[in-house]
Amino acid sequence: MDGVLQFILNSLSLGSVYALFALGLIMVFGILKLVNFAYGELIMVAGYTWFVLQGTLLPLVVVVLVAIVVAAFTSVVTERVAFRPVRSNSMNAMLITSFAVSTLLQNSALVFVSPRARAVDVPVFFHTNINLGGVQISVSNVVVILVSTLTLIGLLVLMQKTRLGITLRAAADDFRMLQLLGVRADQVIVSAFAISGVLAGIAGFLWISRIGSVSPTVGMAPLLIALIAIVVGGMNSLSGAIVGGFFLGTLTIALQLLLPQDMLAFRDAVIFAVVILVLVFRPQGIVKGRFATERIG
Amino acid sequence: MSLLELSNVHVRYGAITALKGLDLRVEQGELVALVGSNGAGKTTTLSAIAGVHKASTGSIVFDGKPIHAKRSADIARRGIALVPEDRGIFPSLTIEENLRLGSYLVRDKKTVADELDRVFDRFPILKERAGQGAGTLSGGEQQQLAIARALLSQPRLLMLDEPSLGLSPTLVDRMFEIIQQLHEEGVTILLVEQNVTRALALANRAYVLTTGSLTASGTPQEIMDSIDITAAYLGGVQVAGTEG
Repeated sequence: MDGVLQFILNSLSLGSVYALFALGLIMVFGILKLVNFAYGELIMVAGYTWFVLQGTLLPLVVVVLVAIVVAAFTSVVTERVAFRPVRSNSMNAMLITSFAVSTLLQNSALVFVSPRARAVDVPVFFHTNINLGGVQISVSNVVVILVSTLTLIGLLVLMQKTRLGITLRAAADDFRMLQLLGVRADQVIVSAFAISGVLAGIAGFLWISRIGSVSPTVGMAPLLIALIAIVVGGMNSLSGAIVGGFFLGTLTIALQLLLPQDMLAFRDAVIFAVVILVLVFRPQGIVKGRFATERIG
Repeated sequence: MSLLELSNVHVRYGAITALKGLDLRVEQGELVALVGSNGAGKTTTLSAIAGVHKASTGSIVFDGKPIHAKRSADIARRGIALVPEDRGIFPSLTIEENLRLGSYLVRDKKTVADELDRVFDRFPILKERAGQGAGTLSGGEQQQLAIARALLSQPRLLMLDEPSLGLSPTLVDRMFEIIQQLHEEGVTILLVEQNVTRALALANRAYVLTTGSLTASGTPQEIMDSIDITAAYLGGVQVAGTEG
């Protein structure tokens, strides 16, 4: 029983971080049909903000909030400086631009900080356990599940109830029609990048507190996870990203548990094999969404 | 001064010239019909006015100011609303959310609420189903939603692209009734239709487009009188129009 609960908690914890990764990526994809390869670097930027600020006396909550703001700001700046000028060009131009931004940010970290990983001070209590009715639960799991649940609820309210959310969903449906109603494309796209950055910041904090260090390439794994999650979950809706994230998280934890010791090295290979299998039977992903598949920019 | 004036407008799609020097004007309060067969350039004309496709030469002047270089969002902000042929409904939004986006540009909350009430009076089906997904609506209901949404922006010029397309005969009647009502209430309308007879019955003036150029213009009577010149063409159109 203890093992089952532990498995559920671990899956929820990892899955919710993966879901946030995926949501941040699909936020921009839904509207521009652009897979933003610089997305992982927003997580890296959040991590380095944490690293830089940990020497100050600021409480962790403040540091994290600043890190989220910096990630969102970086996201908006990349849109304004790099993506907007090439938006009217081909999809390939956008894609290459996102690679360029990714490389540029990675190399900045490499030059200005260090090519090696730097440790961040994860609070000690993250690694302690609390006893809940005889079951040991790690504090980090609780923090992760709590923070991501709040983020998911916040995002849901934003997307469903606010004018901005309605506008963003409409843009994913039919961007051209939205502009015919007087909504400026730039505003919508900047908002999408900002939200993407906020999600990267929050997920980045959770991810980096998990691994305990930040390096120039720290964003590559999250980017890959997010990409696989949205492909397997369904690229045409936000719920697809969430489902894909939890699917991957649960699968990872399950394999970690079930695979024999000498097979653990092949865990990712097994994950990919399962993903391929899912796509064979459901090429559109687990959730069939409604976003327009055609890009209108 | 005309509300809208197109002079010598050309639109090209790659090697194809879809509009070859179109001159057209719409006066305040008028209902102007733009008729012609498939591929004549009617939709292109509306797209060019709305800024979806840019005119390669010529000028489009709205309320005394050139708009042909503006983006579609800015043209909409000046008071031109387009109800496109595909209706442009946002299927993953509810009907109410679709309508809220229609009043995106109207800042005053009181005005938005009042206009929404008027729209619900005019299209009761939308009120009944306000919370439903817009993707679940039938073709006729979607057309009503598209027009309602356009009206909520309080446009100074309403452009309708084939509003009767794909509707049942009863709904076609209803649609033309609505258009006539709007016209009588003072809304300036530029109407694109394949159903030439019905369009001409309502219009103050009309233009006939054939493969990118005007072949006739004037009052509906004048168009009807010149029908022998374009008989073959109009005949074909009427056959096509009755399918809807």
